Amino acid sequence: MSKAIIALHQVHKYYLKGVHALQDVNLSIEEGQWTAMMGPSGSGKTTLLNLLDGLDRPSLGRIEILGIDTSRFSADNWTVFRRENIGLVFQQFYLIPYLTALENVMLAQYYHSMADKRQAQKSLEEIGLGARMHHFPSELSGGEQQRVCIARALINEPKIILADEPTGNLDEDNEKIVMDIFHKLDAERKTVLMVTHNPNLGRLADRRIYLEHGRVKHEHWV
Amino acid sequence: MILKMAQKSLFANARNTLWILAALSVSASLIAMFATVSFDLEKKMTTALRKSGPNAAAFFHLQGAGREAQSGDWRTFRKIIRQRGIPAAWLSFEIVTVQGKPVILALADSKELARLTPSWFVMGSRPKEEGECMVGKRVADLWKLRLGEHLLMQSLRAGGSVKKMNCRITGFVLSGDENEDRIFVSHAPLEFRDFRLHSALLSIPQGEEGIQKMNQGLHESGISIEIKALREIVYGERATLKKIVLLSGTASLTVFILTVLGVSSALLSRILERKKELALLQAVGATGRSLGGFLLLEALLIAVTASVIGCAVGTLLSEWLARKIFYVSVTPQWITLPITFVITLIVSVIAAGLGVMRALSLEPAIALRGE
Repeated sequence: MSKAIIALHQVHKYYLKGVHALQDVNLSIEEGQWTAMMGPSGSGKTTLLNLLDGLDRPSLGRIEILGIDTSRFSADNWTVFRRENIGLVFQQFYLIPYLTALENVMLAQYYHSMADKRQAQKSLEEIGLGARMHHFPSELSGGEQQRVCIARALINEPKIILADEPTGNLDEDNEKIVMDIFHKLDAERKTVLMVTHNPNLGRLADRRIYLEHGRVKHEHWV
Repeated sequence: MILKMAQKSLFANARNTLWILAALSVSASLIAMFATVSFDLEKKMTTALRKSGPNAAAFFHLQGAGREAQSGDWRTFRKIIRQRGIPAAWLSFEIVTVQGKPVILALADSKELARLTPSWFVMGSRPKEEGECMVGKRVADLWKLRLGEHLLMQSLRAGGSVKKMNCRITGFVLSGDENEDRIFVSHAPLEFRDFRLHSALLSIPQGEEGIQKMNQGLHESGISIEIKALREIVYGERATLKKIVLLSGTASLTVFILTVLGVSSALLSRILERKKELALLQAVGATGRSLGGFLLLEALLIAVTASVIGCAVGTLLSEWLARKIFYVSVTPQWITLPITFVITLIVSVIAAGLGVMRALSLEPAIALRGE
């Protein structure tokens, strides 16, 4: 039996003005599992993801990742932990606009350990961006930008990949390319936690968790 | 990687970068100007300069004395000065006419004169050869003379004969006194060497005390020559200089404070405009320290550029100020570069530090959502 790589214990998240984004969430995600987090808008999916990547903090409760209790992490502890263990894929790509595709990937390497141009080039070639690596984000299509974002997330070989609506801003063709990449990650037994509205993408996951009003409504295992 | 990124980021946010660069350059220019005025001009204007420059002028004081008596006394006086090793520039004067108008022609050895008048600003060069001359600024303006132009001077001699001298203008002199109404030559043709009026610029050791002693000695020896201290001019210049230093110091301090505020607010707005980018850097692995380092590096790049611009502009400003008020040229001082750089850097670090504190207080998740 696989061990739990992510564990949430009675996690709550409140925002100002009384918004209760997450309520008593208890979850356990196993190593090598592809999990899809689904639910309507405002159900707390992205909030949950932000708690798992340390960009936000729970108001109550405890989150363990790789067996480490993150509740006492400082901002810098989280940053170091994240760059060592977690790869982030964003719906809106979030590439640095004045850096080329290659430099955007190398930036993640730089903060992790050291920039390795050859490895960064190889990673972009593997996802079909060999000819576009010296282009700036504004010169790339949405699909290409998302692939750069994925290459950046994977370049340091993270143990966990957290993806927020990775196909949310893509057309059908690009959606398929991105889905293929996630398929490949699944085949490599990477731990992926993905927030998605897309039922096609959700169906590919090993496990689907449905959130509603900040609570886990039900789960579906494949 | 991070240096390249900082450079790219500065170019990507060109408008904001230019605004900060302009504000810092203004501040750096004023600092450089203030430093140059304080170091160079003060040095030139203080008694240290006057030790090498003149602190006294000698004149023949017995009006109506015979020409023979004058020449004799003057020769003796020159001998005394030479024996005592007192630096001196000997000047002889003659009235000549140029384009029909009278003007004073002064004959003085160029090297001697240059040594005793370091505070004169000479546009072009001082005359060295026979047939070359240096013209006072007011004379040059009056006749609209240009460098390299030839000047014909005429002198009416005893018996009604007219002697002519042609010279090429090698320089214009700005001295701030009556010397701007004169024409200077270093060598004169034989027929022009019977000048009647003599004067000397002297650099007498021990200042006023030395001048007083020398006057007493001349009087006791029956030599009709009087030495007058040039202290009033020196004191006047120094008083003006002090006022300028005080004024430019106050102005620089005011601009410094305003610049810190301006640059801080510009850097802050730069950070607020880029909060999504900074949150992303945190998301991909930048710790608070590396994020702060990145923002400080950007500020450092701007500060270095502003320092270089500021030093160049500040030196030009101080040159303009020195020429306008003191009629001297400033010598660029290397010390102004590190001073300007350090102060500009301090301004940038203070301003960037405030921005960094703000950047680190941003919640990455909120910043990425664009809130």
